[in-house]
Amino acid sequence: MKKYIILIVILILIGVGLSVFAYQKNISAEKTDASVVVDQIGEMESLNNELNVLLFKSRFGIDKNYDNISNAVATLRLKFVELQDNGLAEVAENNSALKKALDEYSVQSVIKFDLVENFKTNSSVLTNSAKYLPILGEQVVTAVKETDTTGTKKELELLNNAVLKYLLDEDDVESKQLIRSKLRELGNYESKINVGSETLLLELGSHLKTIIDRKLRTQQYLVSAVEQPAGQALNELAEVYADYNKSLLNGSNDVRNAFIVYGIVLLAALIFFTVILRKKYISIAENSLKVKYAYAELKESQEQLIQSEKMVSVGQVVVAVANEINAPLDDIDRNVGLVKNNINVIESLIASIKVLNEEARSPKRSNAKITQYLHKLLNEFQRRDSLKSFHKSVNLLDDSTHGLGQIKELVNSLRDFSQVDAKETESINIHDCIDDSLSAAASYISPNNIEVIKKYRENPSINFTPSRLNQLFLNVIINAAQAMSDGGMLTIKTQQKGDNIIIVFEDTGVGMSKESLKKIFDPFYTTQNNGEGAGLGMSISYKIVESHGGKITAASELGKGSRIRIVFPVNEK
Amino acid sequence: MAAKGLLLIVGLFLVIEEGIATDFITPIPTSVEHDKRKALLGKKLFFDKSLSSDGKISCNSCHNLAKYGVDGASKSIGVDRKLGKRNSPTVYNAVLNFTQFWDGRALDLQHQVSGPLLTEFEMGFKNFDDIIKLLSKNAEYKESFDRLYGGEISEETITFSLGEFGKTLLSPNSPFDKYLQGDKSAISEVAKKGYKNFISFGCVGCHQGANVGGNMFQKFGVHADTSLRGAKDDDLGRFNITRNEWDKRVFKVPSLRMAVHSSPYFHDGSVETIEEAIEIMIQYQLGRDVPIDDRDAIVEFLKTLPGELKDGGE
Repeated sequence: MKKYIILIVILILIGVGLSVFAYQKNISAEKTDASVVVDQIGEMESLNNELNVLLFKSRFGIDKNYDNISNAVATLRLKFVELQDNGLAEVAENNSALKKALDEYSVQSVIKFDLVENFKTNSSVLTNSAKYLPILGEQVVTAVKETDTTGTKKELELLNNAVLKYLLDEDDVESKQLIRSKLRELGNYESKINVGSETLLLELGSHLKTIIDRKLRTQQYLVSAVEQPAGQALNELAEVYADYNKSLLNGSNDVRNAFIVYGIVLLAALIFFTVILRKKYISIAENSLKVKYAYAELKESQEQLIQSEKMVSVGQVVVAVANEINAPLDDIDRNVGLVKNNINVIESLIASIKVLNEEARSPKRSNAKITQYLHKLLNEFQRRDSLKSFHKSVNLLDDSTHGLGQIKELVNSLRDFSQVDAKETESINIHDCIDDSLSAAASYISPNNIEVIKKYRENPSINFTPSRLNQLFLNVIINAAQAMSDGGMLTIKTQQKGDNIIIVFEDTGVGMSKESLKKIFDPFYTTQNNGEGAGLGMSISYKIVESHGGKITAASELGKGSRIRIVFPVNEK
Repeated sequence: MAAKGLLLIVGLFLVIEEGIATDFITPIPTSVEHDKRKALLGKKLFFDKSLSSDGKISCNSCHNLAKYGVDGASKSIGVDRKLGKRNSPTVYNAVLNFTQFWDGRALDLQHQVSGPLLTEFEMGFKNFDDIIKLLSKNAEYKESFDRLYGGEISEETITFSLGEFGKTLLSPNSPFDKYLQGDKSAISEVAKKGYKNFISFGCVGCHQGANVGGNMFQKFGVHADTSLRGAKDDDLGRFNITRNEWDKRVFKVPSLRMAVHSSPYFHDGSVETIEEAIEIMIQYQLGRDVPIDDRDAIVEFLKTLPGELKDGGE
C-alpha cells in the first residue's frame, strides 16, 4: 500500500512542478509581445535609415532646416524608450545577450546623435561662410587700392578661386595649401586696401579659417554619423530578440510536450490503479464471504459449546446430588432393616397371643392350658425386652422420616436449578438465586473448608432466565471454590447503584497472573488440568451476562485472590 | 574615400529624386496631439502659486502667458526673491523645440517640468514628496487626479499634465506663416526684404524650421569670442552637461517666434533691444557687419513671426 501512496505523491509532485514551470514560462512569454517588439525594432531601423537620408539631404541643401532631422532623432529616442518599456528591458535583466544588444544600441545611438548634433552645428557655420566667402572675396578685391602695382588683385583673385575649388572638393590639397598660406599673410594686405575697408580683411580671415577648420570636420561628422553602427546594433538587437523569442517558443513546446507525456503517465497510472482496486475488491468480497461463513460456524459451535458445558456442569451437579442423597438413603436402609428385625419379635408375641385366644374361646377350654400358654407368653415378652424393641423401632422410623425429608429438600432445590426449558425471562430475586447456587455448589464448598460471607444489601429483582442465572452464579462460585482448594473465604456482596445491581464475588484463592486474567473470558481457557470442565465456564458466564444486557469484569492478584464483578440492570418498577 | 564617393552618388540621387527643397522656415502647426483633460489639469497647475515653496511663484510668474510667455526680466526672480541664473525663455511653441532649457538638458516638456520645481532659486521645492503632499491636501486636485490618473499623484502624473498643457501653447496663423502658405500680401514689403536679409546674412543657418530656431545647438561666439563684447557672463552652457570641450559656450539656438516680444535677449538677458541683439548675432555668429537698413528690415520680418496665442485650456 505504501508504495502506491509514494507513486501517487510522486505523480502529484510532478504535476505541481510542471504547472509552476509552465506558469513561469508563461509569465516570461507575456513580458513582451513579439509582434509589437519586432514591429518597433523594424520601425526604428527604417527611422534610422531615414535619418541617414535626411543628413545627406541637409548636407546637399535639399533640406534647408533641421526640423526633420531633429524630429527623426527625437522619434528614435522615444521609440527606444517605448521598446524598453514594452518589457524588453525587463526581459534583458535575465538575458545577457539581449542586454548586451540593448546596451550596444544605446551606446551607438547616443554617439550617433552626438555626431548628428555636431554635424548640424558645424554645417550651419560652414554653409554661412561658404555662401559669404565668394561675395566677401569680391568685395576685398574691389577694395584693393587702385595705386597698388604689386599684383595684389591677382593674388586675391587666385585665393578666391582656390576657395571655390576647395569648397567643391575638400581633397584639393593645392587649394587648401594656398588658402592656408594666404591666411597667414593676410596682414600684409592691410596697407594695400582702401582706407575704411580694412575690416573686410579681418572678416575674410575669419571665414577662411572657418572653411579650413570646418569643411573637413563637417564632412567627417556626416560620414561618421551615417557610418556609426546604430543600424547594425538594431539589426543585432532584432536577431537576438528573434533568438530569444524562438527559445521561448521552443520552451512552450517543451511545456506542451511535457504535459502530454504527463497526461499519458496519469492515464497509465489510472488504469493501473483500476486493475489493482478491482483485484482488491474481488479478494475482499471473497474474504468477507468466508468471514461470514466462519462467523456463522463459530456462532453455531459456540452455542453447542455452551450447551455441552452446561451438560458438564449438570453432570458435576448430578454427582454431587447423588452423594447428598446417598447418605440419608443408607441410614434409611439400615433403619428399615432394624425395624424389620424388631417386627419379627412382635410377630412371635402375636403368634403366642393367637394360641392363647384360640384356647380361651374353645368349648373344651382348659384353664391349665390357658395358664400354661399365658406363662409362656409373659416369659417370651420378658425375654425379648419387647417394649424396648418397639420404642427403638419407632425411633428408627423417625430417623428415616428425617432422611427422607432431607432427600426431598435436595430434590426440590435440584428441580429449581435445572429449569432448563424456561427460556422466557422472569423476575428473579438475586439473593435467592445466589443461595440456590451456593446450595448446589455445596459439594465444592464444604469439603474445601470454605467460609462463605454474604454481604447482601439491597435485594432487587432482575429479569432473567432462571436456569441461566443459576448457571452463571454456579460457574463463578465453583471457580472461586476451585481456586481455594486449601480453604479460604468467599465474600459475596450485592449493591444497587442507580438502575444497576452490582454483584461481587471475592475469593482469597490462588489468584491469576495478568496473562490468565486477560484470557479469563476466552473460551477453552482453563487453569484446571484434571478434566473438571472444558474451560468454558467463564466464557459462558460472559455470554450469559452480555445476552442479558449486563457486564462482567474480573480482577485478580496472584496469591491473593480474585474478584468477579457483575453488573445487571434492575427491573423497571 | 569610399564614403565620399557614396556621398556624391547619394547626393546626386537625392537631387534628382527630390527636386523640391523644403523651406528654411515652415508654419507653426495649429495643434500638437495631446490629452485635453490632462492638459486642463496642467493649466491649473501652471497658474497655481501654491506650487512653490513660498506660495508666491507659479509657472506663469516667469512664463507669463499674457506677456508672450516671458516675464521681461533679464533673469527671473524665484521663491524668496532669489535671482535665477538664465533668462526665462518663452513657453510658447516650446513643444517644437528639439530639447528644453538653454543647454538642452531635458529632451521634452514633461522632463523639463521638474527642473524649475526643484530648483532652489526658482520654485524651491526640495523633492516631489512635498509637492505631492501639497496637492493631496487639495480636494479639487485630488478629484482631478482621481479622475485622470486613478488617484495617482506622483512626479510622473504631475509633470505629464504640465507637459500636456505645454503642448497647447502654440502661436499658429502668424502673418509670416500666411505668407509662407501663399498669401503674398500677408506681410509688408519691408518684412519681405527682412526675410531675404535673414537668409542672405545667414541667420537662417541656425534660426530655421517651424520655430525659427530651437532645433540645434550652436556656440555663442563663432567668429569672435563673445567675452570680447565685454560680457562678464561665464556660463559655459552645454559643456556643463556633456563635459565635451567643444560644447563650451554652446547653447540651444532659441526660437525667434516671440523674439520681438521677449526682450531682454540671450541666455543671460544681457541685451535690451532687438536691434542690438541682431547686430551682435550677425557680428559674432556670422562674421560680418549689418547695415542699419538691413537690420531694421530684419526686425520688421521678426515682427511677422508671432501668431495667435493659444493656451488650449479651453
